[in-house]
Amino acid sequence: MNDLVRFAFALIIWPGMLGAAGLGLLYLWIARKLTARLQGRKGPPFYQPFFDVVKLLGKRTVVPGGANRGFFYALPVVAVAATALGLMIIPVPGNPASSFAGDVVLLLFLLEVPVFCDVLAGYVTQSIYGQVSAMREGVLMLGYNVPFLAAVVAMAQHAGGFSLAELCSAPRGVVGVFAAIAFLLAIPARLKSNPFSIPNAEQEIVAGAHIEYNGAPLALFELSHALEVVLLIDLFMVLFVPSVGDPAADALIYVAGSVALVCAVTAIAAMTARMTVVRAFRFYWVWGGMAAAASIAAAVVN
Amino acid sequence: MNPFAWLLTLSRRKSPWIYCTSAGSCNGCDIEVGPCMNPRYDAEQLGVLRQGSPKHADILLITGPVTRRSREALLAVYAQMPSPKAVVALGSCPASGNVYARSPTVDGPVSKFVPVDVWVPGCPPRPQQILAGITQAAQLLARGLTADQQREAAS
Amino acid sequence: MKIFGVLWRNLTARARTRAVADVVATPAGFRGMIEHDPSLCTGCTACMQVCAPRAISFDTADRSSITWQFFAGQCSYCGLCVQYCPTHAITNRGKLPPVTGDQSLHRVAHKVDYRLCAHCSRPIIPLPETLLHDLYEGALAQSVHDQQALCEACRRKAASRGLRDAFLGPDTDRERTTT
Repeated sequence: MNDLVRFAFALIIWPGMLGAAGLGLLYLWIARKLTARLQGRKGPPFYQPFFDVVKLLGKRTVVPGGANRGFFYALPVVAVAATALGLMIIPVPGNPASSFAGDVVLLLFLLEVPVFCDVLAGYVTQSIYGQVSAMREGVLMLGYNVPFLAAVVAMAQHAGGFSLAELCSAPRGVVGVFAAIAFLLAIPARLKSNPFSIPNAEQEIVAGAHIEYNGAPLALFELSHALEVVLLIDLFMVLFVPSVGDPAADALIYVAGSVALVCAVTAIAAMTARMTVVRAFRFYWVWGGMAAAASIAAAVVN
Repeated sequence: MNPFAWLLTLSRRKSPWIYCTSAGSCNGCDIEVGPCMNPRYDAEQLGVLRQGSPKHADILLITGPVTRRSREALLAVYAQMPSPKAVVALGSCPASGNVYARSPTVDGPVSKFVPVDVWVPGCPPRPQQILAGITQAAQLLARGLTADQQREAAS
Repeated sequence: MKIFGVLWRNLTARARTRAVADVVATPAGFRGMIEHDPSLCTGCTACMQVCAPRAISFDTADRSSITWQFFAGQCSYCGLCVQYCPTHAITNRGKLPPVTGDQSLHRVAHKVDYRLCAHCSRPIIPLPETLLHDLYEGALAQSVHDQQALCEACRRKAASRGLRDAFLGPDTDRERTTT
């Protein structure tokens, strides 16, 4: 019973839905505000992403003709649920839920679910732009998963087991450096930000997989994007930033590191142009592959 | 008004997403919408985002005198926008047809096809007038006074 | 690599953004919403004839007046009416037309009442003082003021009578065929 309460708290309050939603919307605002500042503009006020989501919830949903209504409504719900479950098990400071063996594998699976939901959304809406976007996202996923999975697997190999608690407590080392580089290479593509924003290239395919989504389903997709940002940054902090022992200092490092990571990804997005899907794929298999090979090699040697 | 309704009302004013469509315009007004997103006038400070899909938008910006060829596209775009929605007519062409009014290929003022909530006069209007028009439309959305919302309330 | 310099400058400098209420001043000579002074209007319809979008029209239904009508939603802000109005009744001070949901705010109608000719009682609109000063240099003679109250036919007759008197002398014993 106690376990159930702790997991429920972790799922709903922190670091799950409510806490991560607030934090994710804050990160989205930081990204938009920093992008605006880098472009010499003023940018939106801090409450903007929150009001965007609330406004979308209040619109009537229009389902395109010929689309499967069940899938149309289910996909964003599944995306939100998967990211929330992933947040439930990640051991950031303040998470009451306990870790269990193999939860790294579960987390990796849960991280793939929102991507699959986006790809399926592109097909379910019967729009040609959505289909192009879904194809591009699928190809890009095959690219960025090379360094991403290699980084996580290398850290797990180094820690000796596939449990997040073990990963947290294991000493980092050279493996941590190579794996961090590989992980960071994958982050812009996972967040669909420049130079890997090819799945939702606004000038070409209008709005990507979400082109026919509107109203509450679109609000849920925006929410799942915000949660995914938090989840990925949490995973980076858990894997590569060691704990210093003091809970207050840990929390401070967590917040500062997360904001720094958001700012870095945003700055890179502001200064780069979009790569085509073929070049992005090649980039990930060449450079991402090298980083992945280096991390695995370092993990095996140590 | 319960707090959720109050929050929803506030969000409609704070997050006006626009979609621009040309009903056969000369593009003068469309060109003036561009600077609205630039650093000098920055519509994003009001929460305005220019969306690529009418399904993502709340406010429709129409330019052009509604040529015969663009009429179906205009009606399709308006139908695809989810409620609640507002319509802003930019320039003189949607209001009257301007110099094209009596042409056989121009179908007349836009109010014959979609209900207009805000008229922004000018040929072309200045970007800050366009932003003022968008702000007015957002206020109407928040207060439930757009033609679309009043039609929904009546039915 | 210059992008780093650009981003750094943008980040450290103040944003160039203006608030929406902070309206940019219109440049000198900006063609905004025209203004019409009915006290200077003579109903000559020159403005209507040069208006390409037909934003200006005249309502002549009423026998005792003529109404100048303008729809700002039809205007293309070209300024030809300002240029061609002979009495300068139409002016342009660069005023921005209002953004509104009520289109009636873009419609202007000014009634100009007819007066009657002092001689033949036909309906006329007398020439305004400003036009007379444009036409005649210096102080206006009393004859000019007298002719201001006449219709154009009576004014023509008065002018030709004055011309004949100037050539042939005062008309004490001359035959008169018509008046």
